[in-house]
Amino acid sequence: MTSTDEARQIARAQRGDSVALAQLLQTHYLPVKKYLVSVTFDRNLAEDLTQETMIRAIQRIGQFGGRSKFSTWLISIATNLYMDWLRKQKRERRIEEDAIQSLLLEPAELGPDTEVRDLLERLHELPRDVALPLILKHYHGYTYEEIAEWMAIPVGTVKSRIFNGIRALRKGEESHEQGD
Amino acid sequence: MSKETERLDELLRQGLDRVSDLGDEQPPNLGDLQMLVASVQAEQRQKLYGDLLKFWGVAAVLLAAILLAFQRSPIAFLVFQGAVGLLSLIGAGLWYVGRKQVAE
Repeated sequence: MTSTDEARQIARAQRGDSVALAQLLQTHYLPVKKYLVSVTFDRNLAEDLTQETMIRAIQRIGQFGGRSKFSTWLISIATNLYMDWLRKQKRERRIEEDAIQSLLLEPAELGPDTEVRDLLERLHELPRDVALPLILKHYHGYTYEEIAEWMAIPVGTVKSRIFNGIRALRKGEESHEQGD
Repeated sequence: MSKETERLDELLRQGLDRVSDLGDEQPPNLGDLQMLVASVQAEQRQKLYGDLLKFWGVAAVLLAAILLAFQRSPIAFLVFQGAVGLLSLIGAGLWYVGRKQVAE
């Protein structure tokens, strides 16, 4: 679908065309889920958050102003929902247990490359508010400003969290190499 | 970007590509999504009507109270209205002065 087609479809959806809106959601469903799996490392949670994202998008389609791409708008909603989920978990002090329960996916799904697998495990051990901006920047390529807006933190904090995250990953890598 | 960071990025890309690989998973079918859209929009409309009803209800009660107060004692009502207006002006003035001082 070209960007002009998508813009037309968005305009129709905003005028109340439910088929156009359903088509838009269908097009973006898997990319949003893929994004959420990459930041949560948890397929069940990603599925729940993807559905929540779609519901939020339906409720707020009229507020989409076209300043960013539709996919970016959906990612910002998904990130906000994930942040809300993290806050709720923190409040209920369940984050540690859940982090252990959902510790990555099955080893077979991570492939045979131990270097990659170790990096993913170190990434998963990072605090979520450090891992999230790091993944958003270094894997998905979003700007510091976008990440700051979605996470509702200053740009400087985003930069320092990413810096700390990279440093922690490197440190782990060095100690792993020394261990070998 | 340093070589080390580039290498880390590459490993990160490989790893997260694997983690987020959804295989041959398909998105929900269009009919299901249309039903979702319809139900969310119906819920939204219902909430909007409920909110409007509450708003008009509160407005009607307030208006009735004002009319009743005016009918029972017009002078007391006008004095009360004047006092509220005056206090609002004083409040706005204090807020403005406070803001000006903070700016300076």
